[in-house]
Amino acid sequence: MSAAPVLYAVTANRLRDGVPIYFAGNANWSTSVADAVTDYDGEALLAKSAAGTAPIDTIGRVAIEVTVTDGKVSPISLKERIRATGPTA
Amino acid sequence: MYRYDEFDRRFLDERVAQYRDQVRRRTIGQLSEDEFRPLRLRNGLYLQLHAYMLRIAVPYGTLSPAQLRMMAHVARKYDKGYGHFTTRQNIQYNWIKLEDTPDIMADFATVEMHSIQTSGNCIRNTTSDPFAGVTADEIEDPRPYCEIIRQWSTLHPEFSWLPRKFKIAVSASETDRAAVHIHDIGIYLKRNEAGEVGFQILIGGGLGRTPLMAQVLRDWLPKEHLLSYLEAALRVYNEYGRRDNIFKARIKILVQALGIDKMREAVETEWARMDHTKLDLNPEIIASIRAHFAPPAYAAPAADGDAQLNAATASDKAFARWVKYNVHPHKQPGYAIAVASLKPLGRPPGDCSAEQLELVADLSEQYGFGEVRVTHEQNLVFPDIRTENLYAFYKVLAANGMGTANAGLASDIIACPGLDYCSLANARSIPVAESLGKHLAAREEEIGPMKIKISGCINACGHHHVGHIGILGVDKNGEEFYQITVGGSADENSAVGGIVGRAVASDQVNGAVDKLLDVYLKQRVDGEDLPATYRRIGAEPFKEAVYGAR
Amino acid sequence: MVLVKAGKPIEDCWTHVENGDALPEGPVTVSWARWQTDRDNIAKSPADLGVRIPNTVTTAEIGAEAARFGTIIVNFPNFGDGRAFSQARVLRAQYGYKGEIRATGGVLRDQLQFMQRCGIDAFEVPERAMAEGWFDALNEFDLFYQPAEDNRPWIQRQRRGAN
Repeated sequence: MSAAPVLYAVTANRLRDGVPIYFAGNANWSTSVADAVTDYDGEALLAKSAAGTAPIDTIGRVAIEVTVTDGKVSPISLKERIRATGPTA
Repeated sequence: MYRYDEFDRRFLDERVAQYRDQVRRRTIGQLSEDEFRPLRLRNGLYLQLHAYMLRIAVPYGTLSPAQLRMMAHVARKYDKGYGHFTTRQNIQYNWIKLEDTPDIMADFATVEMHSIQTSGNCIRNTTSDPFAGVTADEIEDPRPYCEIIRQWSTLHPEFSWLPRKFKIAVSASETDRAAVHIHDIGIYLKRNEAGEVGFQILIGGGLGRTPLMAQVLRDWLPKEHLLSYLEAALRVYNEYGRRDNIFKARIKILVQALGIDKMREAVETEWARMDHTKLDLNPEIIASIRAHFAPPAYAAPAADGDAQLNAATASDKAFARWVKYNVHPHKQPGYAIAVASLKPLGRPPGDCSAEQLELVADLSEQYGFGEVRVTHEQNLVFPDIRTENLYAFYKVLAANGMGTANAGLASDIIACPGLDYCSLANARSIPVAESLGKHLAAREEEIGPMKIKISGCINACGHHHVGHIGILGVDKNGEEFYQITVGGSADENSAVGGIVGRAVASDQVNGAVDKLLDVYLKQRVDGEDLPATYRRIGAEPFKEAVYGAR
Repeated sequence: MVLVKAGKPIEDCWTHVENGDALPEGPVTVSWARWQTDRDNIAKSPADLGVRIPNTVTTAEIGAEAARFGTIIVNFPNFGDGRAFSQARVLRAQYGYKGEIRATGGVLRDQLQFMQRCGIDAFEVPERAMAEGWFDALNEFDLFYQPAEDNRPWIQRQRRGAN
């Protein structure tokens, strides 16, 4: 049985305030993970996210593993979930 | 406390101007993030999970009312209305914007506060005993020497790009309330056989992946040589500390590799080779700094001070409990040292709202001489409360969430921010602390003094290695698990706790800690603390209790 | 790259000779490794001599021989590796070295004043350094909390009213 393919989104931090942002396609970035575009090819997505003026304003672009359930994008790792939704305490 | 002169103020203004320009250059792209990161770290600015985090230095944990009010102002204006006190006596803000930081630093500069070298591979805040200056068991106030070290280490041109961070702590009591042994350099004030006061210098302590206790580098150093000797030690570290692996770059690794004798030889050789004359401290310099720490104008004890206190403790059981755990003897008759707990049950340890900060400022003026200390256990200390005022003072604290009578007890938990805030973390620590504190509160008086420390990752900012019970968050297949240690200690009998067994799931932490405490309660003799029981009976009884007999 | 001294770009009058090559006329620098293996031959040359030292050379080793060199080129392998600050400082303070100490490698604008205070007096920096005004950094602070190798006043002397 082969492993299910992994879906990726791209995230970074916004330079001016450190807020987590998600690549939303077409050189756009959103503070909401719900707007993130996803792709099974994380490298390609990362490359796409480098286009446009946004990269000057972004720190640390990285591809992260996500799932999509009922059209909703959710990061898989606990760290990225907390990053997307805020402190639990 | 130390008051800036015109030189200190101008220096800080120049630093703020330099930082403002660094932010400008970053924003216009003249500095890449890789180039900017070490610069912003040297100004205490981290990029964390949700925003930037700014760490403001509280030199040797001492604060004035003006400083407390500015901390409140910054929390309100630039953050979400609160700050967090750390295990190095500093304060952190979690919701900072880069674009605001030059103004924040300018605001803090007006009250003689800064964020210089609170991060980065340089010399960090020199910490000390929160009871400094007011406890009978100290040789003399250690803080003037902390201030001397602070100034010398500020923007030191040779030691600003060390292999790794460098932390110094100073204690003047045999009862070590400054965790001297877990510092890169730890300093005890000490008398030699002739009765002269000098320093015992320890080197090579630290936690993290390789917890090690500091060892004696020099048993007695005359006061005048404090800075020249530190300079020799830092130079040896700068030259020989490893640069190839950040996990092997602290001075403790160098001391471990060379052995303390070779380390001592290297430092003494360097010290003999260098010219001390510029750095050695003459008595005038020491006296001028000590003058800032002169005792306040204590008044005679009230004739009925004790009687008033006794009447209040007799009539108010909650106050009586608070006096029992949170109040310590003062060297001046008629006064007391009071611990204001920042560990209310079910709340993040060490957090303090803007309103609370302002109240602390007001209380320090109303009931003290306008000074407050931060402890490395994330509480606040009011050093000079008159005995007859303790009750009124306590009532205000209690009405404002700072009157929890748990200082030094099981619910007085030390915890780092953990995965809720910190990008280095593997697991959350705050929810564990909140749950465990509430869970243990009912029997914490029976348990007695108990230091529980929680870290969300191996960087050990929660000092879990040296907790009587230590809890380390780890990531196992994407889930949070917690490894428990027992028998650690951060005082003069410093020791690293022993691992009890496999990490447990978060919903099993409370139960596991219960079992460890049950062993302690059953086995302790003569009121010994848990580390003493552990040294006496070993790890097996604790391991068996949690994981079963083998 | 551009070589800067006293805040101004200058021509580099030194020829930096690779390990296998013959020494040309005029001032030359050799690598520390070559100095170790070929010292006698090199010392015969009448030319001014300089040396390029890795930052792992101990201050005692370089200090003992410093007087022979008209320039000592110290290296910052990356801007986070600050060993050369100690090399420079010890050369000036303990060995009384009076020649040029030149910084190469990872040199950030924001380290220049530290370098100068440690006794470095020449800097190899990217071309853009001049356009971006890097050497303004040498005057960002006029107050210092500790003595160094630059003879600028430090706080203890200022407080006592001395110069």
